[in-house]
Amino acid sequence: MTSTRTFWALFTVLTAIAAHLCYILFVPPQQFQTKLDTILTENGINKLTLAEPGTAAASIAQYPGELTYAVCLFDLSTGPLRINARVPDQYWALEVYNTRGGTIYTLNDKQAPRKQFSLYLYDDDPDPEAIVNAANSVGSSINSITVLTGTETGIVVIRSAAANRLEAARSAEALQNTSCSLASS
Amino acid sequence: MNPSVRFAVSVLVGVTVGIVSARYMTTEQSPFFTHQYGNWNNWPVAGNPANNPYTQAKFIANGQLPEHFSEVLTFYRNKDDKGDTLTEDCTYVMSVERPTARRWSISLTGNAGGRPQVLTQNDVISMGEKVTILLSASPQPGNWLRIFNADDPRVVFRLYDGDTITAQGTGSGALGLPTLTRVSCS
Repeated sequence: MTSTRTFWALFTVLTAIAAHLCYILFVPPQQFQTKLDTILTENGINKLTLAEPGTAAASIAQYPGELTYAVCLFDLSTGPLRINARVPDQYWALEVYNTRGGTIYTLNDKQAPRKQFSLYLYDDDPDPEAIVNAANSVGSSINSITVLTGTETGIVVIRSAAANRLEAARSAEALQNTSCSLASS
Repeated sequence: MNPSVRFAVSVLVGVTVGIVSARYMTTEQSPFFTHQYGNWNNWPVAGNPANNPYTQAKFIANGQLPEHFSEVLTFYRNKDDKGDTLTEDCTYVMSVERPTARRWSISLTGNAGGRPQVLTQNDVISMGEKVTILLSASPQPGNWLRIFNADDPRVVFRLYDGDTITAQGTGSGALGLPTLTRVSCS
């Protein structure tokens, strides 16, 4: 009788652990993927979009009162991605995420090499030297940054200060001069 | 008890406990994976590629992509200094020494309409190094954050340039986190 009770107690505990792990590992990533799919349907791939109120991308904007957000979902299966970025004279940050929300790369206005520069995203390549050579052949290495993502798909988020009209105007001007597209296009 | 009934009950109890505990561990109230600084909470590995699945789940379940902690340190609270939950029926005073961070903000979320009320370092009025902000449903002189039909009001304190701030120390004193005191209630 005791061993039967122990068995069912243990079975319940193991079921709880399995359900707990399954939920943590699979449910939030699936919910996030659904959000990304909605943004993809609305905005397309390899294209920079402002996360304005009412758009699917606005769900990414966690602090819309103090920052302007722009997002670019990328797919590197057909080649590297190029982001031509313009950095305003204020807080600005670019972050590259994988589709599970992990940061791959981050850069802010103080770290950016120039007020205008290009950032190239490459998927992992078996020959890293070839990637570096390809990036250098595109333009001056001073004005370009190469990032190996280790994943084919992900999302680039650009955040720029917009807590008042002056900051918002600077952000809008910078984002109008920022693009996200395949390097081959 | 019939074995099949036992099986069903065990699975039901196990799945319920598993899911409820998973959801709890990704809330701001969870003591796991958060750092507590008094009544302020912080997810210390937010945005870290090597972060644990709980921190990751907390953000992406809401469709949010947290800034890397080297960019911004974000602190949350929904209680005053005495540990009472914030309510729009009360007026609170928040005090902080003007942060040394390059940029900082204090916002109030949970208001009706969803859009947070925000004050940044450029918005606040202060005569000296001490910044005082009033949180209340009715208009207040000076720096004021309005609590309006708030379902679950919470205060968010953000320090930009997280690397620099972290290098100065991460104790609550070193971070200079604001105090939040209840003044009166209607």
